[in-house]
Amino acid sequence: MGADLVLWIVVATALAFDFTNGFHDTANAVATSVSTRAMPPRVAVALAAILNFVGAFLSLEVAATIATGIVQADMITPPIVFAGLIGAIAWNLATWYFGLPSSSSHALIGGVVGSALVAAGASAVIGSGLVEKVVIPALMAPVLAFIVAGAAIVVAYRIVGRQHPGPVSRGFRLGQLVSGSLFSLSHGTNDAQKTMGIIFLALVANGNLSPDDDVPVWVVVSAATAIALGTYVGGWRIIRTMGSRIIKMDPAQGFAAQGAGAAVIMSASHVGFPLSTTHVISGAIMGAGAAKRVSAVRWGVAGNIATAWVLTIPASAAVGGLTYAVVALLGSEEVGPVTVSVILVALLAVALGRRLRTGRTLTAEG
Amino acid sequence: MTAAIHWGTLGEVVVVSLAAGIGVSLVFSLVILASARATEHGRAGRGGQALGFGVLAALALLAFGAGIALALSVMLGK
Repeated sequence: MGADLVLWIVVATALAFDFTNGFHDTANAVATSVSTRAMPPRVAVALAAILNFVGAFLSLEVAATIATGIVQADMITPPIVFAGLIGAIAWNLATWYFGLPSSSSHALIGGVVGSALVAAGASAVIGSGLVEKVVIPALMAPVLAFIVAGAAIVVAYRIVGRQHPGPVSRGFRLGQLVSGSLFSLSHGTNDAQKTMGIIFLALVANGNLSPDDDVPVWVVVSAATAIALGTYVGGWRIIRTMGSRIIKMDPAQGFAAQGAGAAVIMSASHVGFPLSTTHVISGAIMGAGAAKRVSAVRWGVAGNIATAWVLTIPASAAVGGLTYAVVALLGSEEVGPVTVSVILVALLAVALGRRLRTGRTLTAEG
Repeated sequence: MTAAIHWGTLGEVVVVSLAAGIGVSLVFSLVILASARATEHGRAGRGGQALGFGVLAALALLAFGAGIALALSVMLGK
């Protein structure tokens, strides 16, 4: 009974993380389309939500990577997963508050690694997996997206540079309907699976599944639904940062950034790398801006974003580790997660209540 | 540690990303260019040239659609 209660708390927390993942990463899919006026904001987020839902069903490669490649699955317990998720949610909410596009994937990985380290020591973490599946893609993703988007926009400008701006902008706005949709779809294939992987890990840890089993259908459906709902609610603060604070984008740059981003994510998720869509689209936006003019990129904003990227894994690992320490301190298995959940839900309710009292909501314009 | 890094796979990601990202931008820019030229020539009464650019626009659009279809089939094929 106690073990099952903890498991359901973990599943609910994982879905809450998935919601914040969609909420936080809406900007990745829609910021370029919104800022170049290719689509009205509500239409853009609705389309992104639908395509994220669909994308979640298309591949389970990354789910398998998260579940088996970063931590030793046989040493992981549901309270470790729970504490890791709290670390990831805390980082997502903090970076949303400051309007910083950071990686939800790295927050999740950092949170789980931190709680696993505190609970079971260094042997619980697969160092080579962390390097291969997190560090190398994290370094590669923004640089590759920067180069691909930069080259793509140079090619586009060379071809259409002497045409009248009106038809060119209209054409690229139409193209953004396709490139934005493709990006949202690739986001769904990449990000919803991380939650699936985490729930799978908890089910294995609780003895409901063996590591060789397939991801259950209810896990796929619930993860797809949570990320789609989060995407629809939308994190407008980050949309503003991505859409207009890094560079002032024209439709050709928006198209090049989205096309390059989708190309990088699809090729990476095809081979099972859990890439950060945030790193990819941020790098692509910077590349599309810098290729036009290096000073077109607001490097101060880019620097803040890069700092958040570097801090993501250590900060979420610290919160994950601390949460696990509190959970363990509270004693028997179910008391810890239940108490921590109740405290966090109460804190969130107070924060939400304050925002509603001051006439602001979490959804509309930050 | 270095044994864990699959350089071949990483290289594949780099090459495919570059080819797909630049390729999509190239063909869609051709769609816009050829459509604009076809319209200009059509308005100026140069039917032959308008038709030529119209065909180029259609072929580029076809290539763009094929690229998107390929991307979707890669996702669905996993």
